[in-house]
Amino acid sequence: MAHLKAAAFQGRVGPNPGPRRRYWKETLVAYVFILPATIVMVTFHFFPIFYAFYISLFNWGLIQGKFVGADNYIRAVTAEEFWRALNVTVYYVLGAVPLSLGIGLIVAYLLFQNIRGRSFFRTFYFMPYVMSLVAAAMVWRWLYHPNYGFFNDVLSLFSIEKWLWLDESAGVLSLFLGYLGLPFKNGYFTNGAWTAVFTVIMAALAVLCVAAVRRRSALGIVGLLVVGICFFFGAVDSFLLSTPGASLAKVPDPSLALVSVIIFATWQHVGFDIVLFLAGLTAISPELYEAGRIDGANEWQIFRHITIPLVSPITFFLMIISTIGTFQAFNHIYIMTQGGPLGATRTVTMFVFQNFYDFTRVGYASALAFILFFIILGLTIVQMRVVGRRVNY
Amino acid sequence: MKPKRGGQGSLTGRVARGALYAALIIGLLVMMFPFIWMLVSSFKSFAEVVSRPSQPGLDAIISMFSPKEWVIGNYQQAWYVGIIDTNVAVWPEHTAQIGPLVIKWYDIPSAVPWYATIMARYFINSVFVSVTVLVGVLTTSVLAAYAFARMDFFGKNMIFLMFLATMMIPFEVTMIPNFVIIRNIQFNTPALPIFGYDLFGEAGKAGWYNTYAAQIVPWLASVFTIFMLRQYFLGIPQDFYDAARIDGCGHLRYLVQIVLPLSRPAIITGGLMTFLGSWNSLLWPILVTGKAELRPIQVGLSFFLAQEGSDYHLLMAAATMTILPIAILYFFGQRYFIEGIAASGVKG
Repeated sequence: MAHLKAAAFQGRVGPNPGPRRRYWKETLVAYVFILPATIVMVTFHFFPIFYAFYISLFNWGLIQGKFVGADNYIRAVTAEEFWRALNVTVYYVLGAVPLSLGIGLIVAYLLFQNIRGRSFFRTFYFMPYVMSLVAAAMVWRWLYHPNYGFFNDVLSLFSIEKWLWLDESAGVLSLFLGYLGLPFKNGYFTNGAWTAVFTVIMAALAVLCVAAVRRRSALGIVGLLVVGICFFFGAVDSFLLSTPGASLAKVPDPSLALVSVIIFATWQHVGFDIVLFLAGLTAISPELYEAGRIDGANEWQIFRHITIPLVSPITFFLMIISTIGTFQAFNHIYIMTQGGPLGATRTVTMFVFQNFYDFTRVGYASALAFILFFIILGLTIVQMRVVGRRVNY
Repeated sequence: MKPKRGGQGSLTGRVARGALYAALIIGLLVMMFPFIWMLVSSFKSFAEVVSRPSQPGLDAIISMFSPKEWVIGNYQQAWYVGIIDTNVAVWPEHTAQIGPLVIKWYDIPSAVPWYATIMARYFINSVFVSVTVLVGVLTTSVLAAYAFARMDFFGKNMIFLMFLATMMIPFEVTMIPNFVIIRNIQFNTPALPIFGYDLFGEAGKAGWYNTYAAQIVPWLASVFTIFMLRQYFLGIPQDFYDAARIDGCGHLRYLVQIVLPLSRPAIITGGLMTFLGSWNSLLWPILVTGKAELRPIQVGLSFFLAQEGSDYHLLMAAATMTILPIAILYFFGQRYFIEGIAASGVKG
């Protein structure tokens, strides 16, 4: 910016054409320069924000209908399907974002060691991120296929029964605990005693986490977040969805289909995180590592107390970017499951798309999209305030 | 201080290094496996695709990756697969030759030249749309980025903030109004036929619905590219401009003759990212195209999946063909891809 000011300054003291005239002349030239971009931006990216809000206030099908005010919004937040979709989205984000960040940091740290062929590895790790999501999702859909898929072929080599993968709407916990013979289904214990035990455990966990947060422990925040989400969707189930047997004691129980989508999303996205973490690691001054080593720190201590704090701005940036991106994920879900089975992978974005494209409820879909936007905005602000403060710049 | 090349890591023991390379190679295999599987399967026969390994063991795994015979014909079949409607002209001038028929892989009519299939059409559409978007975005972005970086003008910060603010809005919010806008846009445009279809649609039809314009025009500006180029332009010393100015050089000439040659890496990165985004886009083209002959390859592929879902060897051949142009581009320009992304992330 400094030289811009300098340029302006030189312009003003310049000789003949008065500084004011020159400023307006430059303004005119600048407007010609930004005109093409501005026309497109205003027509297709800026004006539509307001137009979307306008549309969301109408009963809008194929054509504009009558004005209904906040009706679309009320219908949206009272719709069972919306809350289910939000539930799926939150599980998806909570699964995909930390997984991708964690693996990304570890792989970047391994690549950062003094190894040969680093850029060779980096090129291939990054490749899924650039390739067509449609084609990649198609390949994975087949890998997951219950009868002809590669994963079940591998399982069958070990004489393990077929999994349904993308076609499995039952939760992974339900499947696992059911396999162990515990009374658990769709996120709830079906037996009073187990429910009571679980509720007590959750309450104790909440207290512990609050204590941890007061000691400014990061683990406490994560724990509290998990407890809060369990509680929130338990409350949604009991008050809005009238799920039989619902209580506040809900366990996050994402379906196997969703977990399969999360695995795909991590595979696809992790290269991006690796590249950014690697760039961040390379920027850390080597003296810090040497100082740590002289002080007798071991590998883990160096990683924990030097590397992690110093890449925290990148972690923070990636967390915000990935959360926003994951909330908007569409292409691979459209290809792999179209939101099925039984809505087990129907995220809010998919729900918006189906209402808009399949059912032509344009006004309603617009209201849903706005709600999604405010959720993303709120989450970003919360992340900035809660996590942003803990980042070392 | 500039860090030494080669990393500062300290896992030095022999065993540790062995484990490190083993972990990285396993990671490499996991990342590459779906692509390898896609490539191998695209050469398998249908019988082999649906046959299951009978007994466990190394043989079973090896046989999964080595087709008994390599069927190159899969690619030909995938190229010619596609349901061609009676009223649909793949290429207008070839309607008569193709006639009303449904082409299946076992029924390749010799009358159909290679460029008259629906696949060819998808590819042509994708190339046309992506290249146009690429050229358009670079033009608008270079001009705007230069103005934001080098010029002092009224309302500059406000306009720039407005641009940046649109990055916050999720696509779901703007896609609905944009769709309504596209359907209602009415311009008296001259007839500009591209591959047998008018670029801006025909008068009296539903706006730009089912046109190339709908797939191109909304994406002709990119805040990301503007922002990236602006950052790069800011790094070019002011002295260059002052010197050019004394020689009587105006903004446009300075931009074209001095700034552009100096900014090659940033322009290549921006161009690659734009091309990629356009080539891989799915949701918007689904919304604004209703005719097969106007769809890009990604949408075509997804419809192919819906129609020929069980012919996985053909699907894999089609997927390979879709990925191939991007893979080639990636391997030639991977430095620009990766370093551009790393730089934008670290700075941003």
